[in-house]
Amino acid sequence: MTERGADLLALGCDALEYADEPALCDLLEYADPDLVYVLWEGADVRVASRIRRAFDGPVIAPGGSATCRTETVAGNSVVFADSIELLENRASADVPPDADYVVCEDLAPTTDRVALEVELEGLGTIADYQRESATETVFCTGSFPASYDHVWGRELEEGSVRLPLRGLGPIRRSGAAELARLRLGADGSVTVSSVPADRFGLGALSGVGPTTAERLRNRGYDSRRAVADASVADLRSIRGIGESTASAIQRSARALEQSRVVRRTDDPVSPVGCDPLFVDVETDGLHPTVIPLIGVFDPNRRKYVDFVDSDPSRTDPGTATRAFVDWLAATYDEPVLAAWNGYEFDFLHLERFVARYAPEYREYWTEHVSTVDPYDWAIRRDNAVLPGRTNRLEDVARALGCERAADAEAVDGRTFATRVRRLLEAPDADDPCRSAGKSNRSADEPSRCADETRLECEPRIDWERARRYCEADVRELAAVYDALAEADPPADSDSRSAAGGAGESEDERTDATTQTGLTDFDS
Amino acid sequence: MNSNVPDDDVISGDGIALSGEELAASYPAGRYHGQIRDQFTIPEREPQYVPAVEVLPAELASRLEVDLWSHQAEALSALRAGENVCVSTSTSSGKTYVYGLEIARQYLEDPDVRALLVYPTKALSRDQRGELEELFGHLGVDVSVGVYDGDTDPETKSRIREESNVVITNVAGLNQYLEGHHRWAAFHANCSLVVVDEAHSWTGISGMHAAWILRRARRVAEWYGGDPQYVLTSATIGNPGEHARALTGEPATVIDDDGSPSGRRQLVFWEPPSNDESPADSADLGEGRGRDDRSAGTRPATVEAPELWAHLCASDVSSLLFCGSRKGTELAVDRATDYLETPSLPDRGDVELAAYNAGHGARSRRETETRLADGTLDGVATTSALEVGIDVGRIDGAVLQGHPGSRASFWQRLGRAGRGRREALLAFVPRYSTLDRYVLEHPEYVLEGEPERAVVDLENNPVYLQHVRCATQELPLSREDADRFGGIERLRQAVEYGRRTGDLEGTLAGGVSYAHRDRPQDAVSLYAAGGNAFDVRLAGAESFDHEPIGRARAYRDYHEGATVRYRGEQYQVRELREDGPQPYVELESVDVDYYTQSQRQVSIYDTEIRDSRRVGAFRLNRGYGTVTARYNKYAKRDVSTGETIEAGLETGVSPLEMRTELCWAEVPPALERAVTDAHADYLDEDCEEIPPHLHGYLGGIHAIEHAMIAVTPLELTVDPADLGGLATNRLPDRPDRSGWFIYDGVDGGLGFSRRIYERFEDVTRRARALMVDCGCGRDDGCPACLMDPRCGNDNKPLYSPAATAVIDALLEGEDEPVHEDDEPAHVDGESAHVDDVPDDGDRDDRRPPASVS
Repeated sequence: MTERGADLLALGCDALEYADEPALCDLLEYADPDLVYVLWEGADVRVASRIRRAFDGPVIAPGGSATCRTETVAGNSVVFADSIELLENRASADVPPDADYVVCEDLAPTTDRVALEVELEGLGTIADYQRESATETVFCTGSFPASYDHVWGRELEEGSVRLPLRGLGPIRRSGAAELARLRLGADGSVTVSSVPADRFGLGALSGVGPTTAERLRNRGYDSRRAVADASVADLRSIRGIGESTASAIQRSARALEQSRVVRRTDDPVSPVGCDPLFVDVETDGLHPTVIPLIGVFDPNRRKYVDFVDSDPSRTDPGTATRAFVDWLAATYDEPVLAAWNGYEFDFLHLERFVARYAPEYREYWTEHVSTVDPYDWAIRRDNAVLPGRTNRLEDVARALGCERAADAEAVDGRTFATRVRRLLEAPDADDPCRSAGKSNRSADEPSRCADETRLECEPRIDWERARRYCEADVRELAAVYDALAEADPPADSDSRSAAGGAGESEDERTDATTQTGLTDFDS
Repeated sequence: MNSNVPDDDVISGDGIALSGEELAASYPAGRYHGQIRDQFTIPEREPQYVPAVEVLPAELASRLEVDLWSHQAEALSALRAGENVCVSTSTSSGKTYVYGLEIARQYLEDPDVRALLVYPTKALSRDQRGELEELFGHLGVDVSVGVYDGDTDPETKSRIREESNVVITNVAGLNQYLEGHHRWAAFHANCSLVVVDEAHSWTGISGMHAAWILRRARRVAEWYGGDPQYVLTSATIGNPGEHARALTGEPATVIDDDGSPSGRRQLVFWEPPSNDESPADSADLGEGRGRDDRSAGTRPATVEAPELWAHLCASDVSSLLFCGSRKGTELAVDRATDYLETPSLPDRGDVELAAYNAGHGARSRRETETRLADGTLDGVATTSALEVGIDVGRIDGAVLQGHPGSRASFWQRLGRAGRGRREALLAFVPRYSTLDRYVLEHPEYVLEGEPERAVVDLENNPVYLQHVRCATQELPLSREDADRFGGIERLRQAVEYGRRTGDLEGTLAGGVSYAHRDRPQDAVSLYAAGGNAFDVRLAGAESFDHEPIGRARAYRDYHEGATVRYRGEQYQVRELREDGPQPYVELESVDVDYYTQSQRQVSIYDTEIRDSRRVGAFRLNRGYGTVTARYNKYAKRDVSTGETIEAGLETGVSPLEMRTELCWAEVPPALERAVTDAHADYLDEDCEEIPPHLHGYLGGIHAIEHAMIAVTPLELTVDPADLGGLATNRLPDRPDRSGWFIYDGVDGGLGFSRRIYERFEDVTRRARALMVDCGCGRDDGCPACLMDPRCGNDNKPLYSPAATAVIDALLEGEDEPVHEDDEPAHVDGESAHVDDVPDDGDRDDRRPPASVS
């Protein structure tokens, strides 16, 4: 089992402009980083000083003269260099030679779209650094979003050198910017999770922006707990909050504070009378070329099955899909599959892969397999409010009290995807794309086995761990699904406002209302 | 609908009410001043029939009841043989039948057959659905047709995806719908035909987007097992086969041997008289008199054309008048009505006229169409809206108020008159502008020469990158896609670019995919390169139906304070913003009596030669360069006189720098010296910053640059606003030489300057004719020949005698190669004769001094 690594939270000041002290504390408590890094882009000294006050740990923020600072966390050394010149003049600038990570924002791309050329400023300097370093250093810069993961290369006299570069900037997504939390592993592997910048403090409540938060505070509701305990009528009396907003605020406060699902309707999660099979697919990216791992959990039979293609190939990317649908058709006549955000991802790609790689099952798939997407049901169709800062499965499950095994936690979908992709790429050291970009040593030394070389450079896929991760995901999904199905249907809105809300029990799961809901569901 | 039924008008002998020969005599006394500059007769064309049963199953042939025209039969046979076809025949030659019948034929074999029809606009889509449904109904085949675009509601969309045999959409929509291809799985799997209608309209920047979108569509269809054939329909262009291949990436059989009939047509070139000869009542020139009509004492086409049109309509020749703008159609009706009500004129009585344009709303347009078809309207003034598609019924005449910009449109518009074998009377009324004057002076250009070539160029890398991103988002892109996506080397480069910027992941061997969650399709604007398109908004309005514009156009024509004419309405730009994620300009409606024009100052550096060739002692180059265009200043000009009201106003936009394609000519030093010396006496007093002895020579190469850009639309389908130029006595890569540039006004290039490079001699020959033949007779030109209203140097100096001397040297020195980089061995001192430029080509004794080996 690997060491935990260092957790670095990269913050953009522009995204936190409206965050007050409690919100910042909330954010830091949630993200629980070892280090906080303030991005140069949009840096603001006032916000930086608020962060310093709120965080009990190292905060690296721009300002003052260019310096170089080293932090060591859990055995990992992270160098923060304010300018590329400091790395150039390592000796005088007191830069340690073998840092595991070097953060420098001068590392920035220059692009020429007409000539189709991209260069990296500072590439020569970090190549020199890497050459002299005893271990492989990973470089980081806020000039790219945190999803950025590219291995640059540089030809030096003694051969080519690998220069892994990661981004720290906010991840591009519609709505609010996502702040990046990076787990910097001891083996150079970086896991990225993102945190929406506006979902903290009172801002975590749906329908609450900076103005409403201010008004809530002025009325004495300075925590989510206080809001959760307030009645809809009280909330409504605040300027700018109408009936439906008041209900939405209260529902989301209760979901978050009481760590439970708050239902808005009594519509069933899945079609009447079905017991879904829970499914998760692992792929090589957001737009998959291969599906090497499919996990299925059948709660009725208490059985978990997975379909693994541990030698995924580009010639037959549909091996696991074929095995899965083959088994599915043999085992179930009219199965219902459930996947988190399945309508936007899992089902969409499964359908595409079945159509292409298992065409004999195309009719079975379209005529006999039905699908449910609990995420879609809850969020897009507005049937329930979920606990958790985000509506991602792991966040919701964590808020509902599901803990996952530590080794399953060390992998995530994106890391898995990257490794699968590199596995697929590895035999192609002769591909100029690759040698230019990754400068794998094998490109220069064709006599060496490409695969061997890769082992030196890239973490190998631990299929057992990936399977455990997938299984943990699917079981979490089943648990979240149960929580959705079992949550209380909303009380009559009249009686709710009359009850005033404050005295409501958190533990209504077993009472008669739930039974009615289930009966509806079953009939 | 186009009908193959022989025209009963011919049989009944009901001929045209007024012939070309009778036109002059019939014109009201005192109004005819010899306007008929030229008159041409285009003989009738006999129809060529092929029995339908020869190419269609008996079941369809018997229901069709008529025979096919030969080009329809030829196209259907080619399709049957598995070929793609590009049908490039005249207006009303039944092009819709080609794919309509092909779909019906395929439907009989497989009722699951699907076809994708791509039209240029949403409006046309709905007209075409009606026409196809009528055909399928007539044939008794149960083919379902759906229009799928932004106006289709979600439920209908879902039904269309599941069920419709024929899906009609537009290119911009297709770009978006490709992203959700899993919902179209069955459609793609059974897609056997892709139809690209009005293919000639896809040129320039939108053409290159369309070409990539069609390639993406084919790739997605193939993923699901579809293997569609293509049908392209096009107006007459010079390169239909090449164009089809550029658009679709697949070869196509060209069908251009038109088998449809046409009656005898008489075409009149009607030159507006000078103002001296104009009747007093036309002093009120009013709106619509922009710079096109600004001329020394010539009656504007906007006045003359409506009167001619009114005269035709009053003489029982029901006619269309084609105008340049929506408002122009309304004004034309007003003017024609005034004319018909003038008591002193004989053309009076019940004449029903109407205006027709897209601003009128669907119902009002339907009504006009119906009245036109049933003969209760005598005339309609229209924009390009009636140029294609819509059935216009029995129309005997057509008047063009100005040249529409391309020969294809010229004939397409005139072709609306004279249905079947009926005679038609056609008239072209030129405005006072370069193209119009050129066509007036050179009728052979529209009557004989080769039509313009449509340019679709795939070399633009910023646009290419966008579509590579879209393709990777749709399906992983691999080596197998290289042939369709620019070849392996270019694709590798694009993929490496995307990997380095973090937009793409994976390799071509394993599959490259898009790394973000957003939709790269949203960044594609058919009107801009590289996704920096500006939204055009109207202050206070929810939505405004104006396509996005590229940055170059925004800076040039939509800077703060600029007036904008759009669909006949006048606006002013309130704000230009590009600091947010979506750049935009905001307009407001105004009513002012001036228009604005920004002036462009250009510098060019970092040229990079990709190809060179010698023409005589000249060296022509093409390649890439960095062009900085500064639109710092603009002027307000009076709408009616064109005079400058206020100049030197600040636009507030920053310089626009682009890396683009360009071509340039290096003038041989000896010729430069000779022409400089010969014209050293010419002085333009406004050019104080230029050494006086250079006014003549620089005025010459400056004039060549202007004239070449002005005539390029005669060779290529190009909007001259997409081109720019520069004449300089210090070339960036050879400061000791002078020359002139023409560049593509879009980052990454459009392929136009490359085509100009290839046809440099043809273009310069036309440029020479433009300046020599212009009636202005001025050495410094006029707005109809050398002057460009955008010229950053205010059209100074321009000097055509020096220009023709340089062009003649270029065109005549072809057989006399000169060693690379050689200075001429000596300079012929006897160069003085070049200052005497003859009007005709007594060229043999004018051998330029640089033709020395």
